[in-house]
Amino acid sequence: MRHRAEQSGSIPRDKTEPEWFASALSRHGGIIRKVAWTYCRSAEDRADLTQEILAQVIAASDRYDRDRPFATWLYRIALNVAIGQVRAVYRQARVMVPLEDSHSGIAAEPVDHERREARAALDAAMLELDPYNRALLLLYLDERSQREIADIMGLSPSNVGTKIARLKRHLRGSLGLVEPEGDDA
Amino acid sequence: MNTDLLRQILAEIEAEGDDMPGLRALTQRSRAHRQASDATEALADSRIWQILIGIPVLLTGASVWADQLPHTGLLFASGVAFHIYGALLIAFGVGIRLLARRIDPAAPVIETQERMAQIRRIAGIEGWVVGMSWWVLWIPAIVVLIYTLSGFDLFRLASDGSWLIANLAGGVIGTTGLWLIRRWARASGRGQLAEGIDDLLTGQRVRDAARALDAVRRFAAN
Repeated sequence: MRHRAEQSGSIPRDKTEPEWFASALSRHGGIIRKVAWTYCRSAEDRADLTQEILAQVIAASDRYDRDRPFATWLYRIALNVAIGQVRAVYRQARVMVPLEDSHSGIAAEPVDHERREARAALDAAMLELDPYNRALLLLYLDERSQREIADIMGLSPSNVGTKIARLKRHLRGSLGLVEPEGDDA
Repeated sequence: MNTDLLRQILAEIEAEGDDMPGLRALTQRSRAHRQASDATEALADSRIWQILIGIPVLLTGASVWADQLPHTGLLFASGVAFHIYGALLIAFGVGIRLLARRIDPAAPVIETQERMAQIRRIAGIEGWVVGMSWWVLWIPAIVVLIYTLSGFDLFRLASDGSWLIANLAGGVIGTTGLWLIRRWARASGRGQLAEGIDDLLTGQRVRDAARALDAVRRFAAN
């Protein structure tokens, strides 16, 4: 498991507010990419969602409390924007957007067959889930602790544990998922 | 397939692409841009106009029915209807404004999504009530306005019930007009407008919002 302190990042506090914020955002930009990938099927939709998340992040930046973990704060905004936007898009289309062939190939560099297959399978698994369980799967795969997931989602840690166990059972069935020993996230 | 492989894939996604597009430029934009990009703020601000319109509507209706209190009749009823309409405009406006201002995109996901679904449901009900009620309200509104401006009761000219026929005819003409606009919107590729009219006529928006609210509550509870 990745070290949480490394992910939440010890960003120097002697920087001015805009510098500090830009630095924190650069450091945790991957969160926005992961959320956009989780909720959008096409590159164009991902770019739109990324812009929308960034706009909301900037709008909310005045209210950010530096004593709170930046990654948790950013995850909350990104997921809230993504879920809201996905609902609006689905409502307009009234159908689920089919998986684009190009989607599993968004990596510029070639990937091996097993990875390509795994990525397509993960894509399909995400598509099967409702927006809240997608968020849960993303956070689980991103190795966030139960407490942190509870904090992001607004659930109790025990409720998160129950839901993740249910999600794993589902993935065992749909992906034939095998968990490494001692994986208690 | 194992969890580690899926985590590696997620890490690849995290590392893909360039830096966030225009990230530094975005972080340095003016405060005006920040405010403009805050959708909930915009939603809350839009209700100020509704409240400002609702106040004179309520007061006009109240003055008419208060004036007609000794001899209650159609004009009195129109005043009451206008008063209630104004009160609804204000109540919906204040309610949505308060709820919108309480939305914090940085709050936990369940809390924010539940509040957003509540707002959408109330806004859907509001659209239906405030919009559709004009099919019934348009004659009372004209009568109330003319009485307020000139002191003349139009119902005196139509004591035989012809106002009711005119009201119904107006409703039929209005609904047909709406249907024609919907048809034109569909034919000219204005899908959103057509869908908006569909939603208004069928209450689809309210049902969608209610389903979203159910979904978030079910997820939180199970």
